[in-house]
Amino acid sequence: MFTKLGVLGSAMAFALTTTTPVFAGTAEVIHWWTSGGEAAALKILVEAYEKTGNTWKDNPVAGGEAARMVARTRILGGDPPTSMQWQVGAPLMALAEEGQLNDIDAVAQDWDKLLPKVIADNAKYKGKYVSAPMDIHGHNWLWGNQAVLDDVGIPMPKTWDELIASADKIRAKGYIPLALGGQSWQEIFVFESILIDVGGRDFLTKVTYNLDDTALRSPEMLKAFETFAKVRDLVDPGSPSRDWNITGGLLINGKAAYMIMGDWLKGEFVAANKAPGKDIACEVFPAGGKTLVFGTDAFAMTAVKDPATREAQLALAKTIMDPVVQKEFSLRKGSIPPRLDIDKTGFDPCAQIAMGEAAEGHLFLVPDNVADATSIGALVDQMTTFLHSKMTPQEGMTAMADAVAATR
Amino acid sequence: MRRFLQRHVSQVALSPSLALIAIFLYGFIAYTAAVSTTNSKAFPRFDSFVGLEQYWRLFHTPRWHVAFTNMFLFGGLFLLVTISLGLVIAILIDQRIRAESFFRSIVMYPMAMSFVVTGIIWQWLLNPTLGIEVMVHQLGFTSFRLDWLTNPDTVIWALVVAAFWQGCGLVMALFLAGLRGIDEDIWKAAAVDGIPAWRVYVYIVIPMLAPVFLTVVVLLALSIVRSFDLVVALTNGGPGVSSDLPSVFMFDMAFRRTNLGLSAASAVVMLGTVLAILIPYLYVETRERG
Repeated sequence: MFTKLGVLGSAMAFALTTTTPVFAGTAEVIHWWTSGGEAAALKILVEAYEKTGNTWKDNPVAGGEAARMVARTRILGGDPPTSMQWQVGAPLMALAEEGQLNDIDAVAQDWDKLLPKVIADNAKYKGKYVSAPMDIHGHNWLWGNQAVLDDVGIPMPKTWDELIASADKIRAKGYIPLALGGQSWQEIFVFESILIDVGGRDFLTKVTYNLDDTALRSPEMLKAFETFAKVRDLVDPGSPSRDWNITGGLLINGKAAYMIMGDWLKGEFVAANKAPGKDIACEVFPAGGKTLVFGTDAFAMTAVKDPATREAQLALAKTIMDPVVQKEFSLRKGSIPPRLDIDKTGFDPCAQIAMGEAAEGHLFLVPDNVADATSIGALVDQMTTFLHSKMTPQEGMTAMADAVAATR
Repeated sequence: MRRFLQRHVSQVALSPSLALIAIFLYGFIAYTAAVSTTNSKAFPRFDSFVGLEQYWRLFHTPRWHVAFTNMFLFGGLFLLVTISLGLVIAILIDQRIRAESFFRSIVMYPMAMSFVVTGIIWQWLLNPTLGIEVMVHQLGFTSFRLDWLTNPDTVIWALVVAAFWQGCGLVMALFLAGLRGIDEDIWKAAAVDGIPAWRVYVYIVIPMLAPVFLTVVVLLALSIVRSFDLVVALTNGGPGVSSDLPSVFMFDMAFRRTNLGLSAASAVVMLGTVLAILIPYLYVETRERG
């Protein structure tokens, strides 16, 4: 009996000692980039990584929520992946506070100089980098179908007042003024851009980051709700619960004049042979708001101890921040690189605008990744309830402020 | 030892499954209740005890009130519509009609589909820009409106219609089986006395179906509590949050809003609601038997 166990044990020990070097430098990565453009972009990263002599063990999970759930379950079960796609800011900090992340400062000495401050700050925990940022995706873009705008004879609006004023002309020609998928995550982009329109970046900070009660009940907020109420008349009856890509079809096929959506919509333009910046006009909206609301996909490095895997992590972080990888990746993904020293050639006009905004320091990290999840959640719930109801702006404002207050 | 085993063989045989139930059912219920008293965010943490604060928060969340009210609204309407229409269809099919199995298959057919498929089919049918409304407009009735899915006040009807479409076949089959089990002599006696068929149904046959009613109600009630996939596929809780159900709320809080504490509190309240309905029923049942 004992000899049998001993044989088994030594066989296992032998297997371990001989196999460990073979598996050295393998990074198992959980991510949710499964669609066409995303996969093409990821391929750039994988190929560059494998050139460093390490192996990429792919673990794609369709859908961000599902992927995060898988990653979290793996961590809870004591079997974390080497790295996983995550978002900078609060979601990352939640992991770091649990002691689930490794720092990668060994390869990140000069990152503070290369990255916009807001991204650097939110990729670090207690002053040490725990994730490597891969892209920047802008949210508050106004897209306009140029053929429709020419037919109606109007330019791209710069403010919400201009947009609403042009709606009658657009409707008279038989188009939908604003393509909107009536799901709360799509509607919040519209609401955020209205907040910037009425009170600028400071007001957006007070309302969405600080969830400040005075700001939530201010005259500016009432003005925002008055504008938001008008959005009800800009959309078509099929809007509620519609997915973003189907809604994007309305804009691309020339049924609707405008749409407010993140720059991942560019993937749909390219698939439909429409050039962003030419066939589909773009504007960071409201123009002159000096605010590009953005989210950043980053690869978080889990708290693995095995030295070989640790090396694989550091090599991965280094590859992600490689200027060539960053540029090629963003060109395929429709995003812009987080590194500020990448030249603009090759990028489409809309991406060049975004790179200009990033260089000017106009980045505003998406409130989901900053504010308390429960409070901002209550705000979003009230925002969408208002839009789909007949509430007056005053009622909507009070309901939102009360709901947010109850979460404290 | 042998005598002990002989006497308690059933207890011994059942004990592993009882132990598993104790851990995986009651153990996890207790775990969930414990999480609901903490301020857990992305991971369960027991070092952040907050007492009943999560429950206070829950009852001050307008969205929870919508979801909770919807469960009763949806449940009540669904029970009413499905049982009454299912019974009527069963009675109609029971009239010894021609091609009975053909009609039976048509009514039973939706049951073969998952709630997700049902949800997507009805999402298309009820969408005012591509479904039934557009079709009727093309027939020339341009004033026709069917905006159940996009109107927060009527969206619950869209859920009821889709759930009925799915559940009707089962109810019909159960009632039909019950009707076929009724003694032929009753019908003969009624025919001799010259009693019209509808009176026989209302006063004699339907009361005799009481056990079937109970089965139907239990089966439908279960599908109400677990109706998560239908809402997600049909409306995703929208427009706004007007078609939210507690199960959707719970999932959202746990996985999208990363607020496990609040999510656990909502789960405990859901369980409490089920128990509040179930305990009187069990009490009556056990008293009658015992």
